[in-house]
Amino acid sequence: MESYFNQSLNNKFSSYSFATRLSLYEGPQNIETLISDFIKQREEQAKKEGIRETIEKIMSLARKQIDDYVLLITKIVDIVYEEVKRQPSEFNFNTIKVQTNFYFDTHKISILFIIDTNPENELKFANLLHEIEKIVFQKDHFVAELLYVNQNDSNIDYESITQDYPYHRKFKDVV
Amino acid sequence: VPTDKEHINQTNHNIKFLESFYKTYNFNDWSITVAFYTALHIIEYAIAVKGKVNYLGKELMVSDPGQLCGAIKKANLSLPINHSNTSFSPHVARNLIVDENFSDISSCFSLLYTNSRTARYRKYAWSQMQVEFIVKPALESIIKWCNKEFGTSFKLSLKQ
Repeated sequence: MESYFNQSLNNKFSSYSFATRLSLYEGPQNIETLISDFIKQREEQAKKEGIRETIEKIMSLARKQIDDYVLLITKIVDIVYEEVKRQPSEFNFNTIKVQTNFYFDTHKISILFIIDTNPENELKFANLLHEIEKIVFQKDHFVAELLYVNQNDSNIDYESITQDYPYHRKFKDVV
Repeated sequence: VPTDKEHINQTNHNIKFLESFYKTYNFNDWSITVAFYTALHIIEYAIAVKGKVNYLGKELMVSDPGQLCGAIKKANLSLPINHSNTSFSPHVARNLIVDENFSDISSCFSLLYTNSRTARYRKYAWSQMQVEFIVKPALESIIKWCNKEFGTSFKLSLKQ
């Protein structure tokens, strides 16, 4: 019985064309319409799945890029901060404030360090920032703009600074 | 694109302007701006004369910072990750060129660049000490370097 069934399937019935096979059936609804409706339904489902998969991929990539971007900014500031702390005591800063902004679309890196020190140390600090800019480009292939302003004897325009760099980096009580 | 001769003329023009007011210390804010643009023309002169620069270790035919983006693409190299055709400005290109090609004066040029960018946060109020420590030595170093490396004869006199 089984071999007959297999043979019949392979030899006799499979020779019918798809259209012929459909014409063998009659019922309340045209079978071609029934099939067409089913295909449309699957097509819609596939589109939705595809869109969802694409959205998931884009969102996952975006989250990864944002994570890497914020991590790099954080790392740069930490390195500057640690390097300053490692310097001899004569290389002493009264304050270091760090202001930045986040550009999630372009990944621009622009960080402003507000320091308070004498001109000799200001030059050392400027060189430190420049060296770190070069390392970030060589290692991560990002252009980082690390700027500073020395408030020593200057009347600093904090309003302009916070307009351009609205985010202040905290160093203490960071969870 | 300005010629190398035009960069020399503009450099001398800026030097004369700087010398005309620097010693009064009444326009210290302008000292930093003029010093930066003087240095900029010196750098662009150097690039124009060389006609080629290194980027990521590869030599590219570039005689102006504005050509770097196109040259990078032509050589199948990559722009910095956070830059595109539109954001890769001549300032960004120039800074990268200086860092990789003119390391002797890259810290001086960076110092003038950063201070010209942040001048407004000091409300353009610069002390005599600040310009003496920053503007003067940085520009003098760049001029000395150019005269030595490229045979120019720029003269800067900012003595009190």
